[in-house]
Amino acid sequence: MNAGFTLLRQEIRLRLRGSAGPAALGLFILAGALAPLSLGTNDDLLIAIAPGLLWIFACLAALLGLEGLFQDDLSEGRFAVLRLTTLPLWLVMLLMMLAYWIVVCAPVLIAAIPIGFLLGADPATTLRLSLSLGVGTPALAFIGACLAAICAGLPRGTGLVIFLALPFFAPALIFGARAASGGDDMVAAFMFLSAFSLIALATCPFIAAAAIRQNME
Amino acid sequence: MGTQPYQISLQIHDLGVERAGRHILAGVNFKVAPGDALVLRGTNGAGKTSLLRALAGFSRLLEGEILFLNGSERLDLEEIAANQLHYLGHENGVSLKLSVLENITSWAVLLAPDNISQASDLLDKVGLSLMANERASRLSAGQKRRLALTRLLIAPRAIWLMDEPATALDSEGQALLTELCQTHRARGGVIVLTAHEGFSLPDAKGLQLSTGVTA
Repeated sequence: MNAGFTLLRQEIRLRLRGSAGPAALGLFILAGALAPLSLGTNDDLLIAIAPGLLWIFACLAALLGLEGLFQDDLSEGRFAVLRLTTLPLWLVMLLMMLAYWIVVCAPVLIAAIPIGFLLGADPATTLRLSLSLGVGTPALAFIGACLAAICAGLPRGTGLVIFLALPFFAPALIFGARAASGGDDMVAAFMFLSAFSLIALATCPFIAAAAIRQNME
Repeated sequence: MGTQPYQISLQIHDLGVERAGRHILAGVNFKVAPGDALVLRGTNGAGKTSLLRALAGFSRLLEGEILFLNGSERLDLEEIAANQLHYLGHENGVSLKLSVLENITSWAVLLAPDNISQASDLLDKVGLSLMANERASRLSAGQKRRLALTRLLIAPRAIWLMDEPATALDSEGQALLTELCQTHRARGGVIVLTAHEGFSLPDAKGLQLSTGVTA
């Protein structure tokens, strides 16, 4: 228990010292702030597309944050140390993915609130948007990190990760934007998003652990 | 032998190892008793590292078996990996973005939750006390290796697997390494290390690996 907690703290510290977290948040804020400049000042248009637009930006931010994830851990021999502890490898991966979500995705869903207002969305929509990101981004983080683990042994594997992630991110994007827009199917969309995140949570740590084992052979 | 804290011995039977899909070692046999050290030698690419990684459980075995024994009782491999193995590879296992002290304290909690050794004593021992708060990325290769050596001391574990541990160490560092190894052996610990000419441990057994199998 104590070991798991220490690993999570160490992992968050490591990720914060990397460039991925600030880069992801920076991309999200910048893209959100620049959108009105390129899309024009038609308020109705901006309000209508804000939820979908911010979900796209969130996906891009989550992908950007994957750059180099697990690569240093492999090349520095950190996994070799972690595999010789009482923590099972799937738990190590779960904690690393959790740290990734905390450092890369959590700031995005907080930043979504001011950016939502900036695009002219009303408070209810902004809140729904942030909430839908909170429910949906764990799926992005877990699936993205899982793909990063599979590609961790490849030089410049991030490009491949981005292409592989596309089909997996699509459901979150479709239902995330639905949930954020409100409307009749909002509850169903939220439920689908939660289910998607829960499935990712239940499967990805095991797949990532197998991938890391394979990469270390 | 009853007074020694460690009593685990290691036996390898007909081990076959592959690297990158190529069968590089076959029919490797050896026994290492408590307090013994085995030095693996061989040319570059002979499979020394692959064998060591197989012992640590990182690679799948093609054939043969690895036994960890307490007397004649077979010990569970996963149990051994979780509690009784140290692996010191080329990569050191040092996280470069953490400070020297942060590396040590995280190892302490991860590897030996009930340990009592003080980080400052360990740093003194390996000669890094002035670097405690430096980022590990700022250390020289030899200093990183010295930092990695503290891992062996933080957690008391019976079996040390070391891949060319003397590389990058100065003569003083090599003397320290030898001293640590001899102390470990005096407690009944087992050491398997790879080395090129120039480094050895007193009365250690040697095993010459040759690329006999290339298929």
